[in-house]
This record gives sequence, C-alpha cells and structure tokens, in this order.
Amino acid sequence: MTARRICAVILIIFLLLLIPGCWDQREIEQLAIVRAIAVDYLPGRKAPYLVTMVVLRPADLAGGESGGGSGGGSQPLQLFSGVGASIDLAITQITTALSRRVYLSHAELVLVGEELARTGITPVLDFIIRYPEIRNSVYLMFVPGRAQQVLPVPERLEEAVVSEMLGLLKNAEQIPFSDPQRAFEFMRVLLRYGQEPFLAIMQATPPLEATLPELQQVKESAGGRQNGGQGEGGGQGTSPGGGQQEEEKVLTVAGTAAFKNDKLVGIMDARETRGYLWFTGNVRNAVIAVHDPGQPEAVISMLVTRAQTKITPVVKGDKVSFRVEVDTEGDISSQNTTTNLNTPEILRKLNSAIAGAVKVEMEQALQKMQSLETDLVGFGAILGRKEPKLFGKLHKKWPRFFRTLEVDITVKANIRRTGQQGNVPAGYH
Amino acid sequence: MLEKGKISPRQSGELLFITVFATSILIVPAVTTSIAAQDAWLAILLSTLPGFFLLGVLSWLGGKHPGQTLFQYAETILGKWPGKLFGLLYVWIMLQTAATTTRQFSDYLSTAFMPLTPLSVFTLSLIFLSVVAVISGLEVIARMNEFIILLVVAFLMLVMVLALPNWEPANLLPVLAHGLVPVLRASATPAVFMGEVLVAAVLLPYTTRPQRTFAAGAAALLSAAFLLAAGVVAAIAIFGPALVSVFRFPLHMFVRTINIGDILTRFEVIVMVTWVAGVFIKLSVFLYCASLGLAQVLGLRQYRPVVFPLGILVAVFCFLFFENIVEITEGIKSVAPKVYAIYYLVLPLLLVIITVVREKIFGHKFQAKRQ
Amino acid sequence: MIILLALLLAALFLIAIVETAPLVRQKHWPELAAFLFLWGLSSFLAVAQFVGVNLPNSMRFFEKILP
Repeated sequence: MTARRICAVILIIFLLLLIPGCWDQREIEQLAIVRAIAVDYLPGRKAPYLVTMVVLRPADLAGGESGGGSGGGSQPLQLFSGVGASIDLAITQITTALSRRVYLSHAELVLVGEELARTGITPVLDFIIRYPEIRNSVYLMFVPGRAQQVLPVPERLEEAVVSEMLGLLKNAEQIPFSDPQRAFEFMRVLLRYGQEPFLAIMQATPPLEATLPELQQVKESAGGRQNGGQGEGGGQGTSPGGGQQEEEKVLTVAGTAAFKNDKLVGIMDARETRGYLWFTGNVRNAVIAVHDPGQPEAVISMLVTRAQTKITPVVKGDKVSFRVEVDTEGDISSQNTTTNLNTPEILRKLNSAIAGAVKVEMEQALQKMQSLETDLVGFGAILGRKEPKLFGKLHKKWPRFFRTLEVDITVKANIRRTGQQGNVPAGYH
Repeated sequence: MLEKGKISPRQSGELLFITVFATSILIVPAVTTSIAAQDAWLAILLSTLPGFFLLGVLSWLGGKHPGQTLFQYAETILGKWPGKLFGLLYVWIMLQTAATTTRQFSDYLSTAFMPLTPLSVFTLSLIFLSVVAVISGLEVIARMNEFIILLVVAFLMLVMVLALPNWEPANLLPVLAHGLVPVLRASATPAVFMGEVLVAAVLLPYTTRPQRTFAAGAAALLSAAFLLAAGVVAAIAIFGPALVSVFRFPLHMFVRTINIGDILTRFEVIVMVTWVAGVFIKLSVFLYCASLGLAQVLGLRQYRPVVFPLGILVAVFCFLFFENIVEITEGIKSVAPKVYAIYYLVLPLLLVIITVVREKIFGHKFQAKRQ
Repeated sequence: MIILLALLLAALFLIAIVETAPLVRQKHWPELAAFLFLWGLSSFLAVAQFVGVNLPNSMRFFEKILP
C-alpha cells in the first residue's frame, strides 16, 4: 500500500510539471499585448503587407493610478510596424524589434487600409480565422488611405487611442451613421449568395469646427495655444510612418465601405449609410427632419424610437421585384416653428412628410448600391430563401441583375409622442 | 466473472451519451455542413436511425444471452474459434476508435490552444488517466461520468444561450433546398458517431436491469443527437453554412464570438475543460470495452493485465494512423462510414441472422447458462 | 532524443514491473503470459514508432479494400 502511495505521489509531482503548459507557457510579464492591428497593402512591392500593431506599454499598465496625472506625456501605447509577403510574415518581422512575445488574444480591432481593401481582404480574414490567438469577434474597420494613419491620432476622452476607437465603435452601434462589423459578421455575409459585405469607416479628419470658414478666424486669433497643447500630448508619438504633426485631427466613425466579394468597390457617406440602415430596420436614434407643413421655411424633427422593415420578393413569371415596407415610429424632438402640433391632422401631415423624407433617403441609398452593383441589403439572399430554385438560376449574375432591380418602397411613419411640450407657444415669437 | 461492479440503466445511458457526444461535437458540424449546408441538423437527426437499429439488435441479442457481453455470445452463436475471431475484430475497431478519438482531441487542443506543445503530451496524459480509470472498473467510470455529464451539458447549454445575440436565424433557410439526397449523404458521418452505442453490448450485462438498456440507450442517443443538432443550428445561425464548413472546429469558433457586455467573453477555455472531461470518459469507455473484450476472448480471469498494453497500443495507433489533420477529417468523411457500417450494421446483423437460422432451421436452443 | 527514449523505456518497464508483480504473486500464469505478449508487442511498436520506423498503417488497408 505504501509503495503504491509513493508511486502516486511521484506521479502527481510529475503531472504538476505538465500543468503550466510547458511548451506554450507564457507569463504576462513576457507578453507584448497587442490591442489593435492595422493592415495596409503597398502595391508594387514584393512584401506588400504593412502591419502596424498597437502594443500596450507594460510600464504604464503597472502604474494604474498615474492615469490621472496628465503630466506624464508618454502614451501607454506603442506602435510597431513591419512588412511582409503575408500578414504573419510582417508580424514575424516586427518580432525582431520587440522585447516581448507578441500576444494577439486581446486584439480588438483590425483596421483595413484602402489599398488592401481594393486588392481584397481575404488575407486578413484568413489570418483572423487561422491564427489561434486572434478572435473572430474582433471589429473590422475600413480606413480610407493608409490604415496606419489613424493610430497616432491623439485620443480625446479615453485613456488611449484604442479605447477611444472602441468607444467610438460602441457608440456608432447606437447611432445610425455606420454599422461596425465584427469579423465573423463580415465573413458570414461575404460567403452568402445574394448579399455583399460592408465595413464601417473610421477616419482621421480635422474636427468639424475646423472646416467651418466662420470659425477659421476665431481659431487663428486664439493662437497656437490649442495646437501647442496638442503637440505636447501626441508629439512624441513614435509612429514610424506619420511623424510630422501638421494639424489637429480627430477620429470619426461614419459611413460605409461597400464591398463586392472581398474587394472594396465604393464608399457610401453617412447619409447614404442611414438610408441603407433603414432597409435593415437598424435606425434607432435617427433624427429625421422635415419642413414644417405649416411654415415651410423651418424644420421639425422626429427622433426614431422604433423601426421595422419587411422585405418581400414579388415574383411574376420571370420578373423579380421587391416590396419594402418600413414601419417606424418616434417622438418629436425639435420644432423651430410655432405651428400648433396638437391637432391630429397636422400630425398626419407630418407623418406623411417624414415618411416621404425616409423614402427619399432609402431610394438614394438604393441607387448608390445599384450603381456600385453591391447588394448590401441582401435582396438576393432573401429571394434565395423564398425561391431557392429561381435564385439558383440567378445567383451567378445577381450583381448585374441587382443593378436594374425594381424595389417598391413604402414607408409608414407614426409620431407617437411630442416630447415634454405639445408645441412651441406662439408667444415666443 | 471479470467485472463485479454493476451500473444502473441511467448510468449506462449517461455513458452512452458521453460516448456518442464527446468528440462528435468537435468534428461533425464542419463535415456535415460541408455536404448538407443549412440542413446539417436534419442529417444529424436522421443519423440516429442506424444507431437505434444497432441498439435494438444489441438488446435483442443481449436479452437472448443474459449476463453475456458481445464477445461471449459471439462465441456461443458462431462457435468457439469463429467467435473469438469475431471478438478480436471488435477489439480492433474499439482500439481504432479510441486512437481516433484521442488524436482528434489532441489535434483540437494543439490547433486551438497550444500549437507548440508536442502532441504526445496530450495523448499520453489522456491515455494514462483513462488506463487508471479503466483499471478502477466500470462502476468508477460510470460514477465519474455522472458528474462530468452535468458539466458538459450545462456548459454547452450556457454557451448556446449566451451566443443567442449573435444569431441570424435566416441563415437556416431555406430548408431542403437541394432535396433529401445531400442530407442523406451528410448523415453518414454523424452515423459513425451514433453507432458508438455499440459499447452498449458490453455494458448491457453489467446493468442492474438489462431489459431497460434499450430505453436508456435510446434516450441517450436522442439527447445526444438533439444537443448536437442544436450545436450545429447555433453554429449555422451565427456563421452561415459556408463559413461553418471551412472551420476545423466550428463550435470553438462559435464560442469565441460570445461577447456580452465585454464581461462574459472568452468561454473557450471552460468549453475545452468540459470537452477534455468528456473525451476522457469516452476514451475510458472504449478502452474498457476493448480490454474486457480481449480478456474474454482470451479467457483470462481478470482484464487488468491487458489494460496497460492496450493503452500503449492506442497511443501508438494515434500517431500511426494519421499523418495530419486533413487525413482525420477526410477519413471521417469518406472511409470511416464504410468501415463502421460493417462493424455497426453488417456484423451485428450477421449474428442475428445466424441466431435465427440456428433456432428456426436447426432447432438449436440458445439458453445460455448464467455465469 | 536519447533521453526521451530512455524515459520511454523506463516507463514501459515500470509498467511491466507494476503489472507483473501481483500476477506472479497470485500465480495467474495465463494472464501473465497474455500481459507479457501484449506488452512486448505494444512496447515494440511504441519504440519502433518513436525511433521512426515506418510501420504499416491499417487505415491504408481499409482505404484499399473499400471502394
């Protein structure tokens, strides 16, 4: 019995050796935790994939409380870039400049540059699926120009640029100007017949106020103070590419990059994106403004609280068309006029005006998609579900078919509530 | 008698459940979906039919020869030497299944979690544990399983519920767009796993009420098929059929998509733990049946001496049979259904036919003495 | 490599000792014979596999005989 016990103890000790995972063990102190990856394509090179990784700087991670002290000036994130004939080769190149092991499990964003999107993003998708560490629930984002460019943009509200980006994405999911896609969502649409995938656009633009000519003067008179402060914050950015600091930029998430298979074919701006989103019914928090039927020079707007869209294929012999029925409701969110809204018929007029505005928006988006020949809505997929046989014949030439597809849009809008006041009292004017 | 322990019909049902379920959940979704697309779940439900048939045959045979395992009544029916040969064939297929199971699972661990760790670390530790469990006896395995089955089922359900926000149920439509033929073709692979209820033939005499084995086994088979189908439905609803069929381990990918409020994420490790447990039970069951069978074929007084050598054989086979993961999945797709159809359908049916012929035509009475 | 081989052999012999001891004590000779035969076979295969000998693969056999 004792012999057996000794044997067991020896075995247990031996098994203990296996528990840390031996060959695949990693200690957190030896990891370079990658938060985001930007992938670009440099055409005409032998090693065309430029990968930039945003790595958490461990020294800053340790001192958690120092986050409040803005005097530090150093960014908690570092950028590392490498080029290679494939994404993992580029990462391999980066590893020579890293003092730690690359660890991709905490990557939450993959930014795709424009050139790469035009040549096809299959390599990125392959990398995401195949690589054991990276998760298929990372956000895929499209960046016009070089994806790398948005990484050195200074953060505004959050602690680091990646958290800022994630915050932007989370918020973008609540507002109807873009629809951030996770990698697996993109892939499942990509592989579906009769529907084309898309990505939300993230870009670094000058802040809105900088584009207004009326404000240019104000800014100049305020002097370089603002700019100078900015320079201190992001000036030491160790970005390998865009070191020069020309002007203030901020990150925005708006618009849609439309793909055909895995290649970028066109860009839809924020308004067209909202038009597209009406087709999916995913337009909560949209604000629709229409001219006041009583006083057409000013606007009344409605906050959309609920929207439902039903898309049905109508097949008559060989002809296929679609009927899209949108049913939406919302609250009045602003009124620049004194029209009395407390009458049912004015609300009825408003309803039809809003419905008309939504319809125009949708039609514009549809026209854009048709001109690009990308069926983002998935009319083809819907037809495929209803009429598999018919769609089986069509699916090869669906993009061309989609170009001239007839879609009949009917919108029903219902204002349910008017907010905390019934109407603007006439006495204000 | 080689095995003194007894298990209850419920325990035997649970063992059958884990045996069928543990590895099929890893391999089947991708293979079935690649053939039947969004109708894969239907293929899985259909694939239970051969399982039921086998279960029926085995419990009929078991009822005719109370207290005897497959290996023993094979000798009674076929005569001494043909019966022994027959038994050895089954020992072989059980070893092969055990080796395939181990390899599949080690490859999963290696692909998804620890690519640098040598495969032998996974296989040898798993086989060693199973050997110890088998030496401890059937009762121990069954009782351990009562706990493990809870883990496996509970976690799988949890994961499926948590993944609901990612569902796009439209992916499951249209149903039967290409007719029934691809569905039938696709059901061959899950049928290989459903056929693993074969081990019921060995468990049956050690069950307290053998006549209830069919009911318990049928329940096990049905619930395994339903859970598997639910897993496939979830995977297809999340990824769409085209994507599911390119994944090596769709359920793993599927668990990775779970992200609820950035807090409930990264469940794959929990799932891995439960699957390690499930595969461990499955391997133990097959190793147990092979050892017991070999001992009975050789006429030994205890099965313990053969367990360790068979464990080593399983380890050898699992490196020998497959060069790479492609061979495993392709083998499971094309070769395995034919091989296992012989073992799971043809040979048991042969036993039944010979029994009937000997009874009806030669008037032989099978009234096996109780051992 | 050599060390691993030594470890493998050590493990195999440890198994042999652990398993044969009770059999000898109980005087279960047929069981002992069965064990030694199987152990010899599987150990031989294991070592051959480890050293890198190309063993016949039964899967190939199935692939060949089945259409």
